[in-house]
Amino acid sequence: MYKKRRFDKRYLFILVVIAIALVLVVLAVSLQKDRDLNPIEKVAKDIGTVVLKVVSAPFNFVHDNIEAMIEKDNVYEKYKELKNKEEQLDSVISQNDNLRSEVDKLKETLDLNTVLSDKVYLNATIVSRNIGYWYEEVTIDKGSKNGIEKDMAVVTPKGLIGKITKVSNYSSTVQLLSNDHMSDKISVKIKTKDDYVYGLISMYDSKTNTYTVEGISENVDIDKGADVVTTGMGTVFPSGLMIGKVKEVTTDNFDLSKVIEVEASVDFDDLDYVTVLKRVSN
Amino acid sequence: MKIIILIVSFLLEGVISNFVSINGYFAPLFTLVSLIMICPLFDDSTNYYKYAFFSGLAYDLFYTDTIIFHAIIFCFMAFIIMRLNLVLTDNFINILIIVALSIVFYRIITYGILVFINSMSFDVLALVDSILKSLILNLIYSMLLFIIIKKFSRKKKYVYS
Repeated sequence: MYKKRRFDKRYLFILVVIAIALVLVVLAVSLQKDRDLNPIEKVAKDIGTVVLKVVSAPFNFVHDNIEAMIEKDNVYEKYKELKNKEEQLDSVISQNDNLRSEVDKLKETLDLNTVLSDKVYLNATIVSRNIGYWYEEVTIDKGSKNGIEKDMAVVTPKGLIGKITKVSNYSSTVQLLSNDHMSDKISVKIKTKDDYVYGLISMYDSKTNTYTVEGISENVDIDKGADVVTTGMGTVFPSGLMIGKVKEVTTDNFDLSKVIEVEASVDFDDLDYVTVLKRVSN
Repeated sequence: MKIIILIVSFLLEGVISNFVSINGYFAPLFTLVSLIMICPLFDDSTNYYKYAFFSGLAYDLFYTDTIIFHAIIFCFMAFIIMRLNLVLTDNFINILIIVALSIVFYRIITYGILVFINSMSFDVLALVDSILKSLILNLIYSMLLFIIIKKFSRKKKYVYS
């Protein structure tokens, strides 16, 4: 009897250890960032997106109406602001046309089909935001049937917010730049007086909504407020996507290179509508 | 009653996530809170585990891209919630204590696993921050659910009476 109880306890212990090991292996596989969704997950995600869109509709209606009412109070100020911008618009349009024709001519001369900044636009609405807290992800209501593919860049009118990591038929998951793994080592360029300097984003701080950019030579002058945009190097992000503006310029511990704090142009707390960019390749 | 509370809370969590700041002080965990609140309505613990497992699985499939992560976590939380319910009686203050403790356990367990399998880097402050950000809204929601369940249980002579 005594022997049998001892054996049972050992047997139970081994079973528990195997169960824990199996659970950890399954979790490690399921939490892999670059895995593709299986067909069951895709169907469930699509159903979830449709259900959430329907359930959210009345809440969104009330929210939009309240926002519209608040905005009505500032109509005159906005009108004045827009009038000022309109006056500058003509010169910007002519400048843009000029640059576009120059780019076309250069592409013809160099026999290039595409440049790093060429992209196709797809608009989408966010249906759920960062549920689960740790993942820094949002779900959008467009999927592979709408032309979305893994690794496409996602932007708002203010700038880059992240990239597509998982795609189902009618919904996709966007990993935000506020995630540690995402913002790491994105190649960016910072506008100086007459040229660009290149660096890499090394981290994002959610408390200050700033990125840290490293790898910039010590003898380059960088002004506060300078624009920081993507370089287009690498396979994911096209060139010229707004990241933010220079907030502070310091040097590293060895005084060998500059460390730049960049204020993100996007408020990650306020995301409703996004645009997915498909980079045009040769 | 139990399934309605669970489904409504589950959907409400998705809806509310669109109206609160991503890293703000109102992180919704309504599915977990509803699991805590419906616990005393179960006579059979096996049934409760089934509810926990399937709500976790739905959470994984609908909201996150993790296959059975939340299904397992919710089952484990169901075990903790049942133990806490044995120790603490079903009154208003005790329910709030159970909700608060469950949120703390839930955050520690999920963070611990994510760190253990190398999905995240360890940062105690981030963990404490996540717990603080989850308490306010979920405690308010648990109060609302408590009142609703209490009203219902008066009619049906359920628990919380």
